[in-house]
Amino acid sequence: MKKDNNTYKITRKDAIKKMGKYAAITAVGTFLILNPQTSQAQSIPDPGGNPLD
Amino acid sequence: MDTKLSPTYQKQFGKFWVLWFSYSNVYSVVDNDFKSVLDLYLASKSLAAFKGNLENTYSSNQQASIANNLSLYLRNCNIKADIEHLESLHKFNPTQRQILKHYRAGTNTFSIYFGSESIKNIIHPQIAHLETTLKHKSTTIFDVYLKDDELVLFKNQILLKAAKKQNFHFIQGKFFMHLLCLVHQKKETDWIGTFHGSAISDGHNAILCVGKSGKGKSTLCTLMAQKGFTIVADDVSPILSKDRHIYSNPSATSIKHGAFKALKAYVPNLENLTTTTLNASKGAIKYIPPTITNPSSYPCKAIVMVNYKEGSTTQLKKVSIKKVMETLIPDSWISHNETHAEQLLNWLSTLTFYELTYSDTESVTTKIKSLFADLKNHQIN
Repeated sequence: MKKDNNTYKITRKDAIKKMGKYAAITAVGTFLILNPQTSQAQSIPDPGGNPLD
Repeated sequence: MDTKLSPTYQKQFGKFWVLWFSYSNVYSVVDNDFKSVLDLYLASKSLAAFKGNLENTYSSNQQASIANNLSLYLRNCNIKADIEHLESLHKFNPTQRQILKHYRAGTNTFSIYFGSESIKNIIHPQIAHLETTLKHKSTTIFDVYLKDDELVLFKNQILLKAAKKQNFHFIQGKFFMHLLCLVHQKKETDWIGTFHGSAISDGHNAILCVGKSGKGKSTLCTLMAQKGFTIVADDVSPILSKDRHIYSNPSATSIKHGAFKALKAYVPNLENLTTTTLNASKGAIKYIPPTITNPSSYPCKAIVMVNYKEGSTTQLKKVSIKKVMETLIPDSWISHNETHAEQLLNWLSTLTFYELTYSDTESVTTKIKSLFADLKNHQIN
């Protein structure tokens, strides 16, 4: 069942800013927060120019 | 406290836990210490009760800071990633059809209309070896063209994906997902995900090679293919929900300019393969067609983080789930589906994780051969 969490006002950006990094060390241990890609993709292209330009 | 933000699934991997959050599709890796305090926090009826549990170990300031961090952690784990939705804006336009190509993959045929030569170049070189002539029109027709600043992909005139043209890798990804569905006769929802990595097989098991671009995944797999192994998938390795096997990807293996010299001695005809240049920084790329194009699938037994390092001695060492997840998850598409997430965690718990550092082609071949032999004999502890 989906949880209804969308009432939280904090945005992703704010949360990261407040926490410093995705990976963090707290007084009690370490954690990582990982988002998979939301759609299928080939290798992410290098920022060396767009072949469609 | 905050129990509605709790992870939906959790699994222990040695000194780490992997947690999955259903609202956001976030995977989090935490160590045992963090997990036990998080469990305590979630089980506490109130903030005061939680702080009370920490009283003997932490100062009052530390208690407040820990509670605050855990609260932020849980909220951050429950924020959905931004998704770009451009799909509603596009209607099929047949006047964009400029170049037509026909292909055969296994027993299936399909055709693609490309809107221009440069659009053709982002898809065709990887499937050029599948090109064929057709007597009858294929029943599966893709269209890829640019509409203003957006690249759009249609299948039988139904929009599959639209993306800003600089994000053409999402159009490629969606196309290759549908190619996989066609070849293996599956639906998009049948897949747990597509890993950013290359898979090789000895005919019994598969090994998934992961690592950032330029770390030598495709080079290693191409080398192994010359030593009698099969490249199951390059760059995009799909895993099916039904059997958790890695399925073959019919597209060619892409080799960057930097690896041409190393592979020249091993790959017959490398020099004669067409060279494609996608953009200035990626440089020249050659596409090596797969040796076996029949649809196949293999159970994956190990994930190897590939790390080509000039001048290094070949070393294969076990690594933690944390190190692997850090590379694997952000670069992979994983379906946002509770059953698939549970299957993924269970599947991960059956694997062994390694890091492979190499530069020498002969010793790395020996190392991978012996890893496959170990996997076959179930000798891994």
